[in-house]
Amino acid sequence: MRTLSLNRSVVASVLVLLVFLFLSSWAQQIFDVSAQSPAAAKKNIFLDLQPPLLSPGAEKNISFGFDNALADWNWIDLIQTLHAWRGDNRSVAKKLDIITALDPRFEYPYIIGIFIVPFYDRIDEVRALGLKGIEALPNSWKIPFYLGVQMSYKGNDQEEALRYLNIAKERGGNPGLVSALIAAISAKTGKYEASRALWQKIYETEQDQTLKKAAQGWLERLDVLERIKQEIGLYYKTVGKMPASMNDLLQKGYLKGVPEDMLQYTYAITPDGNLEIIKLGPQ
Amino acid sequence: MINNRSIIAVAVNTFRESFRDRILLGATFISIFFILFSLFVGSISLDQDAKIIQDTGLTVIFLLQVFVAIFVGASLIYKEVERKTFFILIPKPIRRSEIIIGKCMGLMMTTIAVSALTTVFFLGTVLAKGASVALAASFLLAIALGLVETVLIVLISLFFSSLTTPVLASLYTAALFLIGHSSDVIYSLIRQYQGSLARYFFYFFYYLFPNLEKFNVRNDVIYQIVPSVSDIALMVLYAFAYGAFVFALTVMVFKDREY
Repeated sequence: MRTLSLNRSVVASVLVLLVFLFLSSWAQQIFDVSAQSPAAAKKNIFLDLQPPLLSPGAEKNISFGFDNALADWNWIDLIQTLHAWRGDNRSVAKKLDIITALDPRFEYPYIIGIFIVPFYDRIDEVRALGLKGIEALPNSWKIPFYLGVQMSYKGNDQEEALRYLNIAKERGGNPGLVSALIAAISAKTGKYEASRALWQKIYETEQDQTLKKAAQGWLERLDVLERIKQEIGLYYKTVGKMPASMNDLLQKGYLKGVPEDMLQYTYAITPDGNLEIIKLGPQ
Repeated sequence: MINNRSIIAVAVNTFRESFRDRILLGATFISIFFILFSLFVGSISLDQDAKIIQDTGLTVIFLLQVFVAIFVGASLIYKEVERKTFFILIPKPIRRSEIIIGKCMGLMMTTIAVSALTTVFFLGTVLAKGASVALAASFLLAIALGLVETVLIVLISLFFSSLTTPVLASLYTAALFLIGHSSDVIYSLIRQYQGSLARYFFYFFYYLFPNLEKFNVRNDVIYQIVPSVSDIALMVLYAFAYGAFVFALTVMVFKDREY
């Protein structure tokens, strides 16, 4: 009799357990189905970087001395969503601002930020982040270098790019690439003498054969530029006005052809008579 | 005349008692787990693993030191009263100030023991990840300064422990710990209220509350920025002076209490 009642209670307990297990499985299934819906996929919190709740100043105030650990936490949080960053997500720049406020000597977020943020066409945010890094890390050549690169290619402001690249050049440990980039941008902006001096130095001192070859190419290119400039001067003296284009020099026999260097750069004269390097790309 | 033998006896017993605490052992193992877990977190940090491991390790060790000081320290005297073991001590030829020094030393021995255990794992991990010996030595300095800070927290904890229940003592000590690490905020308030009376109000609290942030070099040592000898001497002097102030306060409260 006792065995029977014991068996009954065991069966009842097992039944209760099964009911709860069934209920929990059912709830899990509903959750899984709703998580796979297109609407849920659009707002997937695991893929999207959530906007930070606090400002950099507030995060710093409540860090209670655990600044680096909090910066690391934010960094891990930021890069886990790297694959899902979209142009309209402003949280990336905000998050980088928080990380660099908590740990201003953490170099990598500045570099990643300088490279990533321009894709959202926010060059002002890049400049602000880069300048913050240049000030916080006075020995880092990488931050001014990458900021200079982005200002040249994305910001299209060669003067500003040169300013940052020169800061990178003044800082120790920088590779020959920094001087090479300054020389190339100087040539593009018409600072031929400064460019020639830098390329000459790179050609004479650089151990890297690729850079040495590039320096040689640029020195030859600068020679060509000098020659064209002389021809433009001669044209002006003879004709009494500046040539409108490279075609004027070609038609009147001042040049035998539009010179083209090994790196597929073509030189041209702008309508106001200035000499410019125009990149045409591979011919 | 202070009796060293009594102090050592209290210290050793406090150490034994607190080291047997299962919660403390649990916290130590969790700390070691987190130090080892930082290897995984570092591996998903875009090549920043050395920094992540170093920051995590220093933070975890410091949190363990604070945990011992706040939660074990807060229950020390209260537990003795609750278990009535304190009444055995009272009639003995031992001063109450000696009990406090002994308790503080015992708790510090516990903190040093758990710190040493976790530090071995931490230094082993960072050295295996390629950190230099000089960098490892600067980590030891950060951990040692954490211990100096812990002495103050232990004393504050003992002060509250002699006044109230462990839960409230832990809460008050934790609050003072957080305030002590926010002294910059109070200082910025002082600068904001230049020329008004409120400034003196904030000045009063700025000097009354412990400035614990001055012992925090964890954020600097990973960049090999180490405080000068004179700075360290000043930190120790501050800890000694503030510690003596809290100790005197605790002895005053403790003497007047009827058990």
